[in-house]
Amino acid sequence: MLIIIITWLLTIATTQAQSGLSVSPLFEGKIIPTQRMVETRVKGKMLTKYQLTLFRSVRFKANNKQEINRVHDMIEQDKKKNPGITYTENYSSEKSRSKETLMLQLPKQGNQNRFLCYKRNNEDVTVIYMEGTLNSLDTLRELIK
Amino acid sequence: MTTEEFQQQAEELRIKLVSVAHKYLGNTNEAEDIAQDAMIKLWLMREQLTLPIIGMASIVTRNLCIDALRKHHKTIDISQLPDEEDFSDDGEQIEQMLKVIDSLPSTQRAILRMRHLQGMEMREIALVLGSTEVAVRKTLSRARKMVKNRLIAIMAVACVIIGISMTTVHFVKLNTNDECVAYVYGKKYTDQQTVMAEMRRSMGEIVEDNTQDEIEQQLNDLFRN
Repeated sequence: MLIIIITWLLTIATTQAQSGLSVSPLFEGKIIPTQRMVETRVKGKMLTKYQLTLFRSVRFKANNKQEINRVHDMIEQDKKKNPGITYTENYSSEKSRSKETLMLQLPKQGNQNRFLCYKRNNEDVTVIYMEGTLNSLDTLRELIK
Repeated sequence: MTTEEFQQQAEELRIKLVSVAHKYLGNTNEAEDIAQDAMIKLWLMREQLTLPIIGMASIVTRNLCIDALRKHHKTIDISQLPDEEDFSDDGEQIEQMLKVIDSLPSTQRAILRMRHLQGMEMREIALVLGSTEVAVRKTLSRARKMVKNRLIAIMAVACVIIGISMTTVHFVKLNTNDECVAYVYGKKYTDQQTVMAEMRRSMGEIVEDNTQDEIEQQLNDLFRN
């Protein structure tokens, strides 16, 4: 019975992989009210073109510095907890930049590659979580073009 | 008691046993059935019986009545079974246990039923079966062990089947369950066009060329310092 429960939990954990990240409350609407953000959740065949199986994103305009700092802190925690391949543009751990981008390739889960992306352009913040067979964010750039 | 002696007493005995069963069950048809069962039991053990047999016959009938009443109330005495805490006493498991008991060899099944379902004493069982108390205890122990092992095996198989089913259903769901939803400032959109447009917009935000922005930012940082 214990084995079954563990198997079940593992499979559940696989489906909601972003739940293990510090930034997951943001996707659940616990940081920014859902009325103030644009949330996207796509799973399945529609993502085949992008070599993805799961796509989640949130976009919002921060009302104050605290909101930006809070999201930045969560991203920073995930960056520290998941040392992997990072692509950064002007990103700073000290939150001093008004425009910054961080793309983090998280450790693989099963056969799924995982990515966490964060972009801030003044008050506009975008966070994306992706899973799939996509090899790198460079490939994604090419696919989107 | 010889076969002839039993046959001579049979009709009178049956009427008395029906009367005993009436006291417990009230229902004429069921009381008749119970009396009939008691007669069969007595017939099978007739060689061990000595006259007068009415006392023994009444006990057998009473126990059968109690058994019938227990079945009516969906209760069962499993307190004497080892490790009973491993099994919850819900109806389904009792039913499963009864099935397991029914699958036991006849002697073990009879002893287990007499002991746990009819509440008979070891001495009574030994008398009914024409055996010794020691032999009855040994058989009962073996029967309990067999019931326990079979129940564990059934539970294990059930767990494996449930586990495989759950995992299969989950993976099938994973593979087939497409999701396409966007919440735009609290308003839900599920049409593929809107959702994919929002998705591409978010992706575009991330992967867009930031060179110009970066230069501006670096200049700002430079002049601020």
